Amino acid sequence: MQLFIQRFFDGLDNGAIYAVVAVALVLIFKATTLINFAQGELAMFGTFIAYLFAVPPEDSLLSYSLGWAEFSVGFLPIGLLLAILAAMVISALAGAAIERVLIRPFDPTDHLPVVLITFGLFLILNSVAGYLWNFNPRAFPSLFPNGPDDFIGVGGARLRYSVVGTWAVLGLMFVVLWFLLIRTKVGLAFRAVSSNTESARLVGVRVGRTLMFGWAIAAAFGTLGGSLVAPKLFIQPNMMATLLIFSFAAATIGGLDSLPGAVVGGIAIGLIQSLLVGYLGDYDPAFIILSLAVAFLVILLVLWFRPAGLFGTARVERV
Amino acid sequence: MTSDQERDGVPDTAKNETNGSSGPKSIMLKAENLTARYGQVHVLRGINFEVPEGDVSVILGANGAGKTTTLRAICNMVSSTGSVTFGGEQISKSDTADIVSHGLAHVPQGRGTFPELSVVDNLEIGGYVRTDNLKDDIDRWFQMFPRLKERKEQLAGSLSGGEQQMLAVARALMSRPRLLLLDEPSLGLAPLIIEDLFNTFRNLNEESGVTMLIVEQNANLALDLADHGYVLEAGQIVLEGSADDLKNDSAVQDAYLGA
Repeated sequence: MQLFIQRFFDGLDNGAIYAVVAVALVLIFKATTLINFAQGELAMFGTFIAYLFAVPPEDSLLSYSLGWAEFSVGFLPIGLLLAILAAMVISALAGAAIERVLIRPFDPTDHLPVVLITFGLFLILNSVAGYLWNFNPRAFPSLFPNGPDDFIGVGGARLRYSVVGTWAVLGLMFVVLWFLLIRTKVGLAFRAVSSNTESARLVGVRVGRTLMFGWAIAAAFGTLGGSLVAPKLFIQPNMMATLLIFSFAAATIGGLDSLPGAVVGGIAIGLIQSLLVGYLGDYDPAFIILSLAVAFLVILLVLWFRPAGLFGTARVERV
Repeated sequence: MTSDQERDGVPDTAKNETNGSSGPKSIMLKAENLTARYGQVHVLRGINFEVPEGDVSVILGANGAGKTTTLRAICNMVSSTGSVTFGGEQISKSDTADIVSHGLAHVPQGRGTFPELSVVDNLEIGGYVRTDNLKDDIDRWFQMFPRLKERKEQLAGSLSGGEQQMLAVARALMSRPRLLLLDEPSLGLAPLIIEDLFNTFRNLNEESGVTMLIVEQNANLALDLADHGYVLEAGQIVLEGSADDLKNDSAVQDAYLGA
């Protein structure tokens, strides 16, 4: 029982992060029916920006040479919370710029070019981060007390403060998202564009600008997710690769266009992963790698038996 | 301060319009040599028509004649050439999202509601281009369509076809348009509901002075409501006249009235 509770907590821990990234994926998908493959790398890059602001310059220093000139950039640490918030703002601006420059010029009804662009963005962000910060994992500070004794005992299992904190942040994120989408005019416009783009245009909504808003919040929340998971995964350019796949699975379970579905999907994938790896594989590292295959299997099964996911909107085509 | 003046939710321009008064009516919408195409397929082959202020104008035509395309061309939703002036202003180069701020609201074919949004949200987004308080207008259209009020928190996608059409009309009215474009409003609705809807259109026109351009296959219904009309065939206007003249025209009777 104790082991079960512990695995349950572990699952919740991972699940929260999958949920955050899945929410970012769903935001873009809802509005554009486009999967943003660069979402993970955007989050990684944003986390590096938080890192720049959060740790002393001697650790985060960007030093690179162009042959004829040497650059060194570093910032005085401004406290982790502020650093993450600053990185979220910068990510939001970057997300908006990406929509404007890389996405908007292309016909949104033709998915392939745009999907290829997000793939390209994935590679660019990954390689640029590798060039700037190299691929060695670095420690990233945790927002929450994360020492050996920072946990609440539940039936012998350890519910770590960081897990509670991560879920609190996820809850806060949902309140903010709810406010933005339900209580603001741009949020209403965003929901209208997601629901019926042509009618949105007819009532005077500027679709491009509204999608920019979606990209901005998706990028900001991605950075938040990255900063929450970085203490556990360490920070390095490939940190989001596997996480993104689990988040895809989470979003698919939820139906790809449902925000609550993304959270439920995140928990489900987190639990499937921790229970499966725990009970079937006994935390054997080789088996942990297999849990990626499990994520894929989940995507496959959902698409097979319930293409609209658990909470998604079934598409009715009238012919 | 302004909310008192605007309590009844009728735009001033519409209230003191010309319906019933003497003198020539001014032309609200005028299309000249309007063409439109989808890819290589030319759908409109240079048509001319006018919508006088305060009138109900109708464009009749069979399936595929280009009726919907005409409305889409006015709002720049298809690639088109020619001139469209609205209130004397050239709008043929305007972005679709700018059309509504000129005072022109389009109720597209198939209603075009936002199925995942509640009834109230649908109305609020209808007033998107306005910066003043929308509440009085929402109440006003709830009064006209009590069924919508009963369902105001429901998602638009869960409404019946008739309710969705009411919602689409109410949403268009939220922008306080001077001209309402209605694309096949009767499509797929039961006869009683259609009758209701067209009575509402008549009220809107006579009492609130909303000018309308309606595109319809149901010629009987449309000509009863309209002041004058056009007949569109294969992308060209083949006939125009007052509603009474069209009703009595033998070609129209044969082709559209089933007389």
